[in-house]
Amino acid sequence: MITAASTLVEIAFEICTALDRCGVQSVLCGGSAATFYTDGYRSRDLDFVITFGWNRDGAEKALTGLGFRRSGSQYAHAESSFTVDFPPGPLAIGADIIQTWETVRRGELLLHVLSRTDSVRDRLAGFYFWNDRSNLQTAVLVAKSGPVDFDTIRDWSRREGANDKFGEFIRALERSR
Amino acid sequence: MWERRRLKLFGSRRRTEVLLSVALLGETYARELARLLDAPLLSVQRVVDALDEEGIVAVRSFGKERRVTLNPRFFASAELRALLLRLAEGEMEIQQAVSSLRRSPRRKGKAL
Repeated sequence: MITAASTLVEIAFEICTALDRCGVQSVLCGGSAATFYTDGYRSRDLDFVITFGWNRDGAEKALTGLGFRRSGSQYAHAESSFTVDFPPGPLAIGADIIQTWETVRRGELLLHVLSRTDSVRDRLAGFYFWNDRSNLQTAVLVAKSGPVDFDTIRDWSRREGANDKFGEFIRALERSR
Repeated sequence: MWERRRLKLFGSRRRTEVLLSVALLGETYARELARLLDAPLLSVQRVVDALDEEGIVAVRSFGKERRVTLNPRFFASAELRALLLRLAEGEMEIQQAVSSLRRSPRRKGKAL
């Protein structure tokens, strides 16, 4: 049950599980995936990309069953201030389409979420494309929260033409340690 | 009466014109697009909003202005931009309209 005290991650598990039960596969991404990996960044909304089985009626029913109501392009909850959004697919980071992710279980509940490495790439994309330095800071926090594949990030950065900014990310990471 | 066929590759003529113009301009805003395309502002805004909703363009606010670009985070952004720029080569009216805009900086006091 979602209450005012529910954390973003707790709500993410509830939503992902409810959608999964009606045949809709969704993956937590964006800032909310970063929040899953680090307490240092607190997103205010949950972004799920639907990766399989989009069924508007089923999804709507699952969300209303949890107490969410549609409000414009988002879903809002009477008890919680967290909003839910479904950005258009496919699940991608820059030009890379993402086909694998983490699936985490907590008792009866499950959550599909970008891998830690892809969460770092996802935040870096905001820095690379929009020069958003808050995204750089979040990428550093996620990278510090556990093991990430720096070779994958370096290779992707090169393909996105962002070698210089990747270097800036590495320097920011080193400074923060 | 002979009528020239105009490209509607992206769903409608207006939507196609907006995408071609955004690709050519790099960054623009709805009012500028409406003026360039001689189209009602509301119609252009609706197209921009729909493209934003689909993640094809990105709309960012700077003060009162909402600037529109192709969304670099769209997974096929590079390919879409290349296709649009190629298609724009066959769109002389749009090319001319876009070319009529002065975009480069002009020092204060210098005659236009």
